[in-house]
Amino acid sequence: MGQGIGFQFNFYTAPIFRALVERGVPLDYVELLCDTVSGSLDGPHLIDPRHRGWFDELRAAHPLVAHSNYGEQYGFKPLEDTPFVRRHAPIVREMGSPWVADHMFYGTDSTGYLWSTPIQFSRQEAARVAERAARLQDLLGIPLAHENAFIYALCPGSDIEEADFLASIVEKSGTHLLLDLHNIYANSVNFDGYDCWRYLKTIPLDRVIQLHIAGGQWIDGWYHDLHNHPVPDPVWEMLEFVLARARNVRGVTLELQGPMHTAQSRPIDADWAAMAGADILRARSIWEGTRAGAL
Amino acid sequence: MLAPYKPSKVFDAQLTLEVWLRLVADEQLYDAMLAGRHGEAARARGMSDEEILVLDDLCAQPGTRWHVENLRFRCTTMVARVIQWHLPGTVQLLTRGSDDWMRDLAYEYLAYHQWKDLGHHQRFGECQRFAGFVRQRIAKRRRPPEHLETVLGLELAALELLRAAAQVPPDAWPLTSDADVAGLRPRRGPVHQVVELTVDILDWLARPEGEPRATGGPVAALLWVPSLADAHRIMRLDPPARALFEALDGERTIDSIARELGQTDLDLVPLVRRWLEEGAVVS
Repeated sequence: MGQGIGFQFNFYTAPIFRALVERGVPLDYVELLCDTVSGSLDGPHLIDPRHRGWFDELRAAHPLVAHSNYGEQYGFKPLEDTPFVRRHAPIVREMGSPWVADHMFYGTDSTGYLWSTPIQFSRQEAARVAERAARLQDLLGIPLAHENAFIYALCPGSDIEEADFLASIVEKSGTHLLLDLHNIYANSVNFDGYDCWRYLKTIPLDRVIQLHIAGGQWIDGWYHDLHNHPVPDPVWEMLEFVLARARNVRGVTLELQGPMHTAQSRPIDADWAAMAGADILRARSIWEGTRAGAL
Repeated sequence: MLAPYKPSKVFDAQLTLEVWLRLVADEQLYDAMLAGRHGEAARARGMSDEEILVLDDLCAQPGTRWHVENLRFRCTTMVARVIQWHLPGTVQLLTRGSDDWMRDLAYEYLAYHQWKDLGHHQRFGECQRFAGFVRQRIAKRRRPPEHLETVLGLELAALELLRAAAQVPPDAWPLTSDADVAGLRPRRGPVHQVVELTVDILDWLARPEGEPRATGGPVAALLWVPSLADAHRIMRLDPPARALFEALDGERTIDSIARELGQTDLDLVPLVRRWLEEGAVVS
């Protein structure tokens, strides 16, 4: 796969993606969520037949990068029984993805819990999670990258910062990082003492292979990572900083999403394709401006 | 902006997760936590001092409310979508096509099950459990829409078939064949079921919009799963087609079956060929 700028394809963004392609917005890859195409574990299909047609078309037209959301791989049940191993890993192979990224949340059998169940950032959990991550990466045979989280509340008992937690995991497991710059920014807006630049100086940037950028929304005094507004200026500043230093980054993905997490999220409208196109072009400009010096 | 988080202690992670799951499941405990009265409520539930300390920690973090509210909204979104995918006729009958009405039903269904969705990865099981909710709760508080049981029964039969298909070994799936059909000894595919319907609502179910339209009945429907890559399919079976399908046992040729049924192979070959092509029958 080449390197560059990508767009996350999901149920909400499929029409926006088509509009971007029609407008000729250049995309180097498409990030596809495994869960968007996965067949149910209590049925016979690896790929849900209702999605097989467009999946094959998308795969033929664009390099795909896999993203795992609801894999439940960091819960407490045996790793081999998790949806990540039983569904996502073979789907990643079908995609031909050069790596796969996942999330540091507890997996339970109830899927809807995922984004509300951050892992305890503690040394004891870093050891447990790193062992599972290493086994997963071995099973996959390609790099596994962990995405940093947007959170509303820390898991009780967290006694180290997220950046130290992630740094410890990748050091122990030999895995990699997907750095979501908007998550870092949003957490810094909501939590006193959470500093973006200290975070970026703590994370081992040489382990970062992918970046996410996005925009969020203020609701009731919180800044929410809802992927529904233009990328804010501080995230662009962080992107320039990271791209100039993280030599192993291979892709920057723009994330968009409709009202998945709250009814108050801004609904998708006709302006979103233009918003996405502008962010993609700006990301490309920064990519080209920084990669020449970094590589 | 919130003050930096300071843990009162490092809790066992699995215990913390279990307390969190319990808080989400128990709406009264959650309401007590919002009001700062969770200690009393937790003790009444037999929770330990350590578990109450975890609740204290969650209570002290204002974002806990967002975690719970978003979880419930997201759960409702995902479950409503799954039910609309796999029980489309039932949903149309219950909601007359209103997404908001579906969300209300899904929210209530999840609250009834203490917010334990079976999940994105157990979609057929989730729909079967929702069908139970329809029969045990919804159908007892409002007049069931006409044809509800017929439509629900057929859609559940398809889900059961898909679950059965997950148990079929890969080498048992049919292959299409260009061979001379008349001389073959075809047999029914590994995953199929014939469902009796009291009314013929198959045309409406192919695109369930507006009011349900029955076009007569009773009728038999053949459901089958062609392969590990294909969705299930449904076909109306008239009595001769049903007799033919049930005669396809892998022992007899089409010629001999035609003689037994008092027909010629010319009558039967086109339908058998179609079944072979669509994976309902194995050669």
